[in-house]
Amino acid sequence: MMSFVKSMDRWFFGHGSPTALGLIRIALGLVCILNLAMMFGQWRDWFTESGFHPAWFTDAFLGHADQAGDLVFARPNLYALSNSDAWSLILFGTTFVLAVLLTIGLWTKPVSIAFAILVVSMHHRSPVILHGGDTILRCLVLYLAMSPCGQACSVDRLRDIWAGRISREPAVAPLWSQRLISYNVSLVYFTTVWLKTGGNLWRDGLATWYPNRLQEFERFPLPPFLLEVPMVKLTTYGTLFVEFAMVTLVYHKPFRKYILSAAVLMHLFIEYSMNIPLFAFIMILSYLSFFEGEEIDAWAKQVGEKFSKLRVTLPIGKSVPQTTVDTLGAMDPFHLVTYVESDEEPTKGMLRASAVRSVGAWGFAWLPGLWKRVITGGGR
Amino acid sequence: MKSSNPSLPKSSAKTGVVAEAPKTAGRIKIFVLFHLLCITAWSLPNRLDSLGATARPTGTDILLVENQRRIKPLLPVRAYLFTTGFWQYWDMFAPNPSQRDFYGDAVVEYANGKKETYQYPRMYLLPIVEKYPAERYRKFYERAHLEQNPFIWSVFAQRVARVMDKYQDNPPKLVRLRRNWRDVAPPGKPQVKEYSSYEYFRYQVRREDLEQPK
Repeated sequence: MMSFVKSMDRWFFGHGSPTALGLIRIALGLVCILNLAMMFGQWRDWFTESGFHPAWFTDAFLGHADQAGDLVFARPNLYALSNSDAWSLILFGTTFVLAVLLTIGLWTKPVSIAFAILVVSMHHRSPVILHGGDTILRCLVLYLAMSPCGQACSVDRLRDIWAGRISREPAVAPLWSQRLISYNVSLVYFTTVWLKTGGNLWRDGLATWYPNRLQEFERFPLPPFLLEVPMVKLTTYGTLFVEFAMVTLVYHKPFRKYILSAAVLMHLFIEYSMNIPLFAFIMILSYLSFFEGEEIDAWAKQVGEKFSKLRVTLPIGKSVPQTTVDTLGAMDPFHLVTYVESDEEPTKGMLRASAVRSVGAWGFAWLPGLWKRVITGGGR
Repeated sequence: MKSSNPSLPKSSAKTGVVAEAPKTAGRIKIFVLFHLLCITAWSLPNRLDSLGATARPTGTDILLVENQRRIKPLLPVRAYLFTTGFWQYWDMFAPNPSQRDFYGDAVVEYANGKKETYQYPRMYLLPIVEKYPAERYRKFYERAHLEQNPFIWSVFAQRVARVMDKYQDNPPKLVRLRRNWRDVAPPGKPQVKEYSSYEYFRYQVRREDLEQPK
């Protein structure tokens, strides 16, 4: 028993590479940008007093929707500071800007906290329009605000390497926020499966007969054989198995990739056949939390090794600071480029550095003049 | 290549575990445990309503009933979940998936007696590109038309009146909200194609309803 507690303690509160958190931050940020862009055209309907959802709906709706009875606690909501359209638009626009900053990882800590406050405010302003995807998105945003997600795959990290404040070696950070994401994702499936065991359609193997016949959910057409009873039984019981495995077997490493692949397929099937926006993508990106950052780093290196390395020499007589080389390297996760300083013309098999050849520069070399400053050391 | 920061511990590439990592503070561990308790208790299904007032719970229902009676109403649990935004509940396609298609529309009567039908965004009629972002309208209507949410109906009708206020000197006078539905038949039974319709609310439009932005 004690060894189990100790191993749980080690797993939950251990330290390691935050690369998985960094990737979740980027993927979630992109989904948030897309989500906000899709909602922008509906902004007046959902976030103004003249729309379908005036602010006073919230108390009326949550008052009786609360599972534990009356509404006792106020939910933080910056939209409640003013009912004006202008204030609503300012908050909505700020949320969008913060989503972009979060994605690229600039000023990540304050940005992720401010973004979480605004997302929570948005959800507390208009809860009637929320679906399951919004709820898991909100939880993930909150977890990121508590996490060291800016210590990997971020502009913040590149700036620190550039300034010589940190080395190019992957950071080591507490991972309990990543574990909370994994736990919460499993909780989603666990409670859903529990509820489903009380449903006669799931027990009889006929549950997936219905959603694929609802016209209002229709998206892309399915081959007819997938809608017949034998396949319905397979997809119904298969769904229950995969969801239960996402609570149990997924934590056993030899099974992990198979269970996650099956869950990805399940969500992609729903994404293809049913009109449930972004839910599949949010769930799939959250699966990154089941991987250690070190595993992802090693995988990227392994992929890079499959390609022949492209050696790059730096211009004659130009000394490029080590921190610049480190910064470029940090932007090249597949280690496709090796930077070698040379005072000779490139020999056979070696190529002169250029913005196009240097994968590490692709993230910023398109900014006018910047590549030249980097490669000549002029920016220091 | 610059060497790594000597103050930072190194992690194993295989396991991700750091041998000489700094220890996590006790207060963080307590917070994490409290958080796990809160989200787990709040997410577990409710059973009291389905059991009724007199039935005695058995098996796992005992756990669910006790959770609903004792843990969920706890002040710290509710305060934490509501103020942080970590409240959550998961019921995707559960306990049974919906077996009913529905959409909303409204009949709008103008001052001169003319009648027009307002079609609230209906996913089935929208092109694929448009229906993806518009799904929120369906989600809203899923709750907005319910008998337990009548406070939404008048606001809904006001919004419809504003959108349909498109003729000079002929404003909307009456909005009649309708829900339309069709049940999916089980395997082996013929599928019904026609939708049933029911007028669930009438709203007399006031002048001030039309003065707000569209």
